[in-house]
Amino acid sequence: MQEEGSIRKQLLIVDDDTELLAVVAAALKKLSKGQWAIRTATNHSQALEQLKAQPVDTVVLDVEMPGMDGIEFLRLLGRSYPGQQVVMLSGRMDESTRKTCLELGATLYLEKPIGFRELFAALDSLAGAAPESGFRGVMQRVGLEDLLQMECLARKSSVLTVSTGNQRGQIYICDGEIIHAQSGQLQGEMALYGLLGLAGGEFAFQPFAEPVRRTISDQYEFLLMEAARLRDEAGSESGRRSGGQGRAVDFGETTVEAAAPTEARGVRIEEVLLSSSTGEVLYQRECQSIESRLELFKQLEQQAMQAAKGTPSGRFQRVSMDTGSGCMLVQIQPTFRLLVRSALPSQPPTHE
Amino acid sequence: MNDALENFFSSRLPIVGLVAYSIQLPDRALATQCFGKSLYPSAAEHMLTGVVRSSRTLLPAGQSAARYCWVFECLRVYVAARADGACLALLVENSPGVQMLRIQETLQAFGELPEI
Repeated sequence: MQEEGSIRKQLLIVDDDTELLAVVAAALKKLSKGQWAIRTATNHSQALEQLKAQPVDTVVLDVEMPGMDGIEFLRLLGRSYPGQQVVMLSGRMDESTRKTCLELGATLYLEKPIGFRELFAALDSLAGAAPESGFRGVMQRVGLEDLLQMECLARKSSVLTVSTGNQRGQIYICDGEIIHAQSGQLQGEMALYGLLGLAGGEFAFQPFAEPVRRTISDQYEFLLMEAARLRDEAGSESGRRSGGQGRAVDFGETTVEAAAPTEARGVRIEEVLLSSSTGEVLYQRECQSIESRLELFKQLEQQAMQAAKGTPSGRFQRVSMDTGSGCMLVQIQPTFRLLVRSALPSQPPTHE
Repeated sequence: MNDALENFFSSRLPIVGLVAYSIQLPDRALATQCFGKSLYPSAAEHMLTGVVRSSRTLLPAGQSAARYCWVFECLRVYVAARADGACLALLVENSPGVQMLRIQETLQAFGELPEI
């Protein structure tokens, strides 16, 4: 029998699947080296009795339960045991369930299937281990921008891993600046904006490791502001467009949408041209007149510089255009020029 | 500026982060207002008219309305160009705290205004 003094964490797992309960309880007990006292309940009335008999640090609650489902029980727990730490487990991969659970006070929303070690790590990170220094706690319903801002303001170096059910990415922070981001096949600012546009998910800070390549050089304030702008525009666009279907959210950036990949939105990339600052073509796709595009780079740069004369606007960086049925981005950087033109096949023009 | 436009701006301004705006009517009449202290009104007008002019050159054949965003290191210019030739250009700070949603709403509303 476990000695009382060595128990570090009291856990109550609520699930109607008795076999699963037994397996999970045994696995967590083993992984905690016997330091977790684990109790189980197969229905909500049992769970309430257990809680009445002895409080626990964390309740792990299955969302899909017969009778009163996990969400209803979470609501009840919130009223009867305010402040009770609850971790929801669900096989539903939908954002609205996650959102509802978090709004009702769940500390974490984990999706099944989940490995024992992963579950243990998630639960262990909530409480139990003695903090090495500083404060320890759990932040709920926090935005990624908030996390990044804290990390950058403190001039820290770390890797922020972000994950949702089907998307995962990393944001690299070095001495308080965001230097790289990757998400799927995307890298750089595109990846960063995609991650910052996610509606919800899990995050973890890991020790800093140098990325293969640094892809971001703008100041973090500008990056976060740009991300916020993209999200604002996504909000207004979804109301503007029928059915709120995905489309490019930005007419100040290329066709980046917060969470959905380009293909999923039906956006068609019609033309790409990448050149060096001296006009050497580095990459092109379906560019029908390279010469005229290279000339366009020059003209835009000159016109922008001319227009901005006498103002504190700084270096010209890019221009984008949205006609309602398509977008074009021209980016002028010290070392390269980029043009991307895309079309939104099914969208009617909106500016007329 | 006519009453409709006066009402349009008075109901939407001020917007935090908006440094200046310029409106060009279909008959090419121009009105500019500068709010920022960091630049001269004449410089703001020069910048906005230049950007509007350059924006028009980007329009593909057959298109007459579009929205643009010109991004500079410290400022950005949003342009809404209507099919009737009227253009609204907003010069905005490139900093946190800008009321981006209101900027976007203003551009959107300008595009939807009945005859100017």
